[in-house]
Amino acid sequence: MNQIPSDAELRALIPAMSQFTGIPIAESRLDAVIPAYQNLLRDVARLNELPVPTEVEPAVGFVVVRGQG
Amino acid sequence: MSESSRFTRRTFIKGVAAGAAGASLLGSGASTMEASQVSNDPTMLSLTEAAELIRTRQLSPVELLDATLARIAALEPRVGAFVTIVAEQARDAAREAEREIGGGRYRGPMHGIPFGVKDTHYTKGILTTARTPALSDFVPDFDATVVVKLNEAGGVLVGKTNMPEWSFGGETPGTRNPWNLAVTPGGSSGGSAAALAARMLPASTGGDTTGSVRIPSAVNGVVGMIPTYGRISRYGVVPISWTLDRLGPITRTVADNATMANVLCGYDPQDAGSANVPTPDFTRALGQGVAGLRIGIPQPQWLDRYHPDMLGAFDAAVQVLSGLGANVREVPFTPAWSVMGNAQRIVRICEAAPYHRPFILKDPERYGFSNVRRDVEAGSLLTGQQYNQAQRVRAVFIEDCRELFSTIDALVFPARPGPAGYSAPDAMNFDPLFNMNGFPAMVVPAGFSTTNDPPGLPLSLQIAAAPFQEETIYAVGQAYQMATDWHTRVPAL
Repeated sequence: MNQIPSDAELRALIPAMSQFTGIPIAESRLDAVIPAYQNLLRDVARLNELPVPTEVEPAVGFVVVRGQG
Repeated sequence: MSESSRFTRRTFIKGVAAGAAGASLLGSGASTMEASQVSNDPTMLSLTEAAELIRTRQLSPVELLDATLARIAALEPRVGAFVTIVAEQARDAAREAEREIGGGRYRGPMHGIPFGVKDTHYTKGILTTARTPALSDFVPDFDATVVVKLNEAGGVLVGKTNMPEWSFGGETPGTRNPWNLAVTPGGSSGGSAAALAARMLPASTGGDTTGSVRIPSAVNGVVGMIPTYGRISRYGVVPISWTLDRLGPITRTVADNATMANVLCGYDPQDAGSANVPTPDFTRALGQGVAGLRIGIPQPQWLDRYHPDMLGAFDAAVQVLSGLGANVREVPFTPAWSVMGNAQRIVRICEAAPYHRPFILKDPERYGFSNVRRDVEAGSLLTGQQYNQAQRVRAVFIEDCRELFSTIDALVFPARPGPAGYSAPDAMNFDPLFNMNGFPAMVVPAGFSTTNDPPGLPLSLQIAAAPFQEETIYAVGQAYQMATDWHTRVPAL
C-alpha cells in the first residue's frame, strides 16, 4: 500500500495523471518532478505508520481554540 | 526655534559604548566591534533604547533614519539584506514623525523607528516581488495589515527585505550572514535577520511556514518570534500555506520583540484564521522572571546528531534558567512528534499547489531557478486522502501538545541542530512542528560556536508555550537575556 512507484512507472503515469489533477506536467519536467514526488510519497508512507484513532478528524479548518490560554 | 531643534543632543553614547566594550571583552570566539566603532552611532541602539530617546526628544527620528540609511549604504553591498530601499519615502515619514513628536503627539514606542518588512508583504505603491520573476513588476494598491499597523504606530518603513523565491526554502540567495559573510544567513526571512544582526535595522518582520522566522533569526543571532496562529494577520501577504503560515517580529532583544508584537498583533476580520482575542501588553511580562516556572526540555535522544557546540550552549542555557529558579525537567514526546515533519511537508505543498496553479498555468517560465515549480508540480499529484490523513495526524499531534503543555509552562530546546551551515539531515528538526500545532515559539541568542569551521557563528535557544501564552515566552526570554550578554554582541563588518 505504501510502496513507492519506480521512475519508470511514474514516467508513464504522471503526464496522463497531471491532465486531471490541475497542473499539467510535460515530459520535459519529469526528471525534476519524479524525485520530488517520490519524496512526498515517502513522507506519506511515514505518516501512515502512525496509528490514528478512527474518530480523529483532520485539522483542515485549523484555528487555534479561541479565547483560551 | 525649528521643530527639529526641539530634539536636544542626547547622552546615550556613553551607555552604548560601554555596553559594546563589555561585549568585546567577553572573548567568545565571536568577532565583535570595538567600542570606538560604535560610539556616536545611533544604529547601535536597540528599538526600545532608541524609542526612549525619541520619546524624550534626545534623538531625532530624522537623525536615526539618516544614520540607518548611511549604515545600509555602507554594508548593503556586502550583506545584501534588501530587495528594495525606499529612502525618500522613509525621509518623509521620519520628518512627519519628528513634527508630530515635537508637537507633543507621541504615538508610542514604534514612533520614528526605522523598520523593514519581508518582500512578501504588500506595500502600497512599492514593488512587492516575493523574489519571483512572476511578480517582478507587482506594485500593490494596498498595504498588508501588518504594514498598516506599523505605519499607524509611526514606524518608518525603510525597505523590503530579501528572501528566496516565493519564500520556499531555508536559504536566502543574495544575502550573507553578517557574522561570517561566507556562510548562509538561513531563510526564508534571511534578509530581515541579517539586517538586524548587521545593525542595518532595529526592527523587521518575517514569515514562517517551516521555521522561516526562527531559522534565520537563530543563525544570525537575533530574536525571532512567531506568536500563536491567528495573533498576527496574514492579510496582504504572499502565502505558502494557509494553515501553516505565520508572521512575526524580528528584533535584537526580547524587550524589542515584545514591543513590536504589541503593534503587530490583533484581530483582523480580513484574515480567515485571525483569532478574535484581546492582545495583552506583552512588555508587562518582561519582568516576571522564571522562578517557579515549569520548563520542559527534550530527552537526550531527541538531540542526537546535534552539534557539540549547540549542545554545550543549550546545557549552559538550562543551567542559567535553573539558576534563576525555574524547575527544569526532561519531558517525553509522543510518536506523533517523529512524523510531524513528514506531515508538515504534505500539508505545506498541498496548500501551496492551488495558490500557485494560476501562476504556473499562465506563465511557467516566470518561475526562477529555484525548485518552487518542481515542488508545486509534485505536490499537485498528491490526493485529497493523503492531505486529509496528514491533517488527521496533525490533529493527533496538537492534542498531544495540549496534553504536554498542561504539565509545563514552557518548552526550551536548541533552536537549530547547529550553527549556520551545519548539516545533519537525520537530526530532529523541531521548527515545523510549531507550525503544525500553531503554538507560539521564539528564538534567542545563546552563544557562539567555537569548534565549528569557522568558529564565531551564533547559537540560539528556542522557547515555546501553549496557545496564547506568549507572555510566558517573553518572561523566559527576558530573564535569560538579563542573565547573559549574547544579544549585545555586534558582528565586525
